[in-house]
Amino acid sequence: MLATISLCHDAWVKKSIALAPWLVLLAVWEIAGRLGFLSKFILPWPSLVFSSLTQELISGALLSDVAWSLLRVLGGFVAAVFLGTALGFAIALNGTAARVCDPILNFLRPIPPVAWVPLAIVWFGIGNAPAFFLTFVAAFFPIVLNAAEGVRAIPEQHFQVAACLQASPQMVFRRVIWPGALPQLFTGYRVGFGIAWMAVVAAEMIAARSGLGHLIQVSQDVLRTDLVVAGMATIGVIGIGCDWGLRRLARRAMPWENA
Amino acid sequence: MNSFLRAESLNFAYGNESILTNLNFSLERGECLSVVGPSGSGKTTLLHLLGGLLQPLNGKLLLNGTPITRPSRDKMIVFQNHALLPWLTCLKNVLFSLETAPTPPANSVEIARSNLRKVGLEAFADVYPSALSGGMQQRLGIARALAADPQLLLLDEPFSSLDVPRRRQLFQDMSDLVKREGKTAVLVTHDVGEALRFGDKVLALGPQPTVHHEPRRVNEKDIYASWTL
Repeated sequence: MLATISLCHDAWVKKSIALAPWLVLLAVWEIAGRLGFLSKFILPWPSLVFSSLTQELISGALLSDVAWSLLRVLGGFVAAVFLGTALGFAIALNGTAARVCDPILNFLRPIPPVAWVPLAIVWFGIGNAPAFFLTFVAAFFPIVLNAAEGVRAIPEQHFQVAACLQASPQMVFRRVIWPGALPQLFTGYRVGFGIAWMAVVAAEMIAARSGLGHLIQVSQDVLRTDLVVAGMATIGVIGIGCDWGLRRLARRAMPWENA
Repeated sequence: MNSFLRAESLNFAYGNESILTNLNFSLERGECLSVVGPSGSGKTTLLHLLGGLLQPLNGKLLLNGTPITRPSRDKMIVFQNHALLPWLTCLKNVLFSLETAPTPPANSVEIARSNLRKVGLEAFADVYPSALSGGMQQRLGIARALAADPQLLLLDEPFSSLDVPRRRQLFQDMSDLVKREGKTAVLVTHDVGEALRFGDKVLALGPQPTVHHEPRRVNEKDIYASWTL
């Protein structure tokens, strides 16, 4: 009983330590705003942002923007997961695929997703299609890279064990390659998802009529910096939530990592 | 000529570096061969040749009169660092040996459990290998190899990572198990005492590879001395 109470107490202490910098930052920011050290047009303080956020939530506009952004991120991300994972595995397992794809990937990988915006508009116009394309491009490269490295990092002896047992290619994939690559795959998914979020905001600021990026862009045009910050905060919160979800999924998919 | 395992004028090299030169030995079914030698003498290379993971440069390596050309289920390697699949529980690691069979047995789980019992790990069936000690991991590696029911068991310095008391205990347990199962086994080790106790024959690698047919009569010091010829 005492041990349980002690563990709970430790958990609360850890959570408090993690929350403390946030609370201090928000408090200093709020006080600085109320004391007149900040202009609400340049950097609106937390209570103003919270108020605008609440109004947007009640009107339903914010939820609609969140839904559009999430849809675009998920659309591009899911496509990148399937294609990126498959290509990463092919590169790691097949020398010819590596020789053909590595130079192309190394050439395309350093190009920031935002640099694709003009071409995306030319190719797909305005709306969902360019956003899907940009989130796909953003998530694709980290996923390919991590999938390939995940397979390459599997110890050779695991393949030798499978060879000694004359395991079928399907069995090698199911029992050795897939679980062996999973930790690095999830790293790729987390990084890819984060970059996809950045890309969707950029895409929506330029090539969409809805979404959080569009909300930020429109708010800036009418000098509603409170809504700009509200949009940014929403992106941050959703990003944390999605990353938390991916980490939970990783823990469920890899129970041996917590053993 | 009809030995169960036979090496004839076996040579192997990595590039220009010759590792094994003109090696000859034979082993009958149910016998145990210890391979001993200093680091870099080709002990593990020989084991990988026997396991079909490497091919000889020239010479012959025959199992039941058939050249060893590739890995197969009739010769299983127990690797030095266990090579357990960390994402599978102990039971599933052993089951991996059975589900990869051309016709997996219907009672695979029972067979896997009985192999875990043989090495004293039945209570750890649902535990992941990372939660086991080094000695227990090695026993799990042996259980996995035995589950494939190989004709030839190849043991690559299985106890090198353990402290002396555990090493002696596990060595004794494994020796008893191999004899009880009637397996033909090849043990690679750098511990000459261990090699002399385990093997019906001892192959001492080094500048002049020698097969000792009566290990109990061999003096450890003579083998150590032969390494520095």
